[in-house]
Amino acid sequence: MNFLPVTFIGQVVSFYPISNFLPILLKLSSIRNYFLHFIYPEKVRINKIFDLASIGFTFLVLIPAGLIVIFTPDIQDLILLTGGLLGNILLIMIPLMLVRASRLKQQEFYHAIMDEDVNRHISPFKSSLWIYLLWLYSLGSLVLTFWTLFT
Amino acid sequence: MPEGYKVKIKRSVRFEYHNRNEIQDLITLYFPGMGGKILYGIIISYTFCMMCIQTIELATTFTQAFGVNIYSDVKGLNSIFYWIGGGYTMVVISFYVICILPSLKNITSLQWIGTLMTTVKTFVILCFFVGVFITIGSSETDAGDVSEPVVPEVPAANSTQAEPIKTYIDPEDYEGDFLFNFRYLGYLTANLNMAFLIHYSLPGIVYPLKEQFHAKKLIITPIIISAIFFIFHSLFAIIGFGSVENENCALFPCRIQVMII
Repeated sequence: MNFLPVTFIGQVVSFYPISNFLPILLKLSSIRNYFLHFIYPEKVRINKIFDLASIGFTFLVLIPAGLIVIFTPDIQDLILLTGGLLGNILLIMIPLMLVRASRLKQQEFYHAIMDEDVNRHISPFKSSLWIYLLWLYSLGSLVLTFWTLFT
Repeated sequence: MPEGYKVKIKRSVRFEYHNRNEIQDLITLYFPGMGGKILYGIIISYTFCMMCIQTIELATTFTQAFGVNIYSDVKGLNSIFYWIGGGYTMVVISFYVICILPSLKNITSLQWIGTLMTTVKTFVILCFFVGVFITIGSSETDAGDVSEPVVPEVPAANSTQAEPIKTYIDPEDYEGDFLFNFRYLGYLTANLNMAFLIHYSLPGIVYPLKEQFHAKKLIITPIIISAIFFIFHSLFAIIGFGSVENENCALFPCRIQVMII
C-alpha cells in the first residue's frame, strides 16, 4: 500500500497477489493427487475429468481451506504456523536426520561396496558443528513459534 | 593411484537427481515404515497452508479493490449474518467455486505456469525497486519545498476516541522508539524459514538437467542474486518508508508495516 501514490507501479504491486490464481489451482491439484496417491498407491490414474474420487477429494481439500481462510484473515498467524512448524521440519529437521543417518551408513558402504577410500561426494560442510548449530536454530525457532502462538 | 585420477573425480558427476521428490526416496531408504507417511503428511499440510496463505492474499486484494475493508467486517460489526455475507467471505467462496472445475484436470505437470509466474514475480520485484526510488526522489523534493520539518501525521480519530479497540497487543508497549520486542522473534524465524524454503524445491529444478555437473552454478547464482536483492530491498524500504506509520497502531506496532493491508 506504500506504493499506491506512484503511478502504474502502485497498481502493479498492489494487484500482484491476484496473479496467485494459477499457483492456487496448481496446489489444489497437487494436494488432491497426493491424497489419491496416498490412498491408492498402485493404481495408475487416468487423466479423466469427472472422476468421483477426484471430485470428492477436491471438496475434502476446499472446505477446510475455505473455513481456515474465512476465520483467520490475519496472514501472519498462518505464516507463523507454516514457516515455524512445517517449514522448520521440512527445511531443517528432516535433512538433518537424513544427514545423520547417511553418515552412519557411509563408512560401511564405501568399504564394502564401492571399495574406495575417498568419498567423492563429501560435503565441504562435513564438520558436526554445522549440524549442531542447525539443530540449535531449528529447536529455538520451534520454541519461539509456540511461544509467540500462545502468548 | 594413476595420474589424472583426481582430475577425473573433479570432472565426474557430483550431483545426481533422478527424481523430483528426491527427499521421499531418501526417507524411505533411511527410515522405512512410518517415515515416508509422516513426510507425506507434512508435505500435504505444508502445501495446504501455502494454498490458504495465497488465497488470503488474493481475497484481501480483491476486497480492497472493491472498497470493502475486511477488518470492519470481522471486528467492527458483531452481527454474524453481516459477516458471512461480507465481501471477504464472498470472494473466498466464489473463488473456490470457480477453482473446482479447472483443478479437476491434472495440471501439475504444466511447465508454462511456472515460467509465467517467474516472469510476473521478476517484473514485480523490479517494480518494487523502481517504486522505492521514485518514492525516495519525490519525498526529497517535497522536503526541499517545505521549510518546516516533516511531522508524521497522527490520525485525529485515535485521539478523540475515548477507548481504543481492545486487541491482543497492548499498544503502550510501542511508544517511543522501542522497536525490539521478544514476543515477535517467533515471527522473524518463521518468516526466515518461509523465505529459505526455496531449498525444498531445488531437486525439482535440478533433475531435468542433462548435464548435472553445472547444477552447482545453477543453484548458487540465484541464491546469491536473491540474497543481494533481499539486502538491498530491505535497505531501500527502510530509506523510502522508514518514517511511515500505520493508521491503526492498536493492531500492530506503529512503525512496523503489516504484511497485507
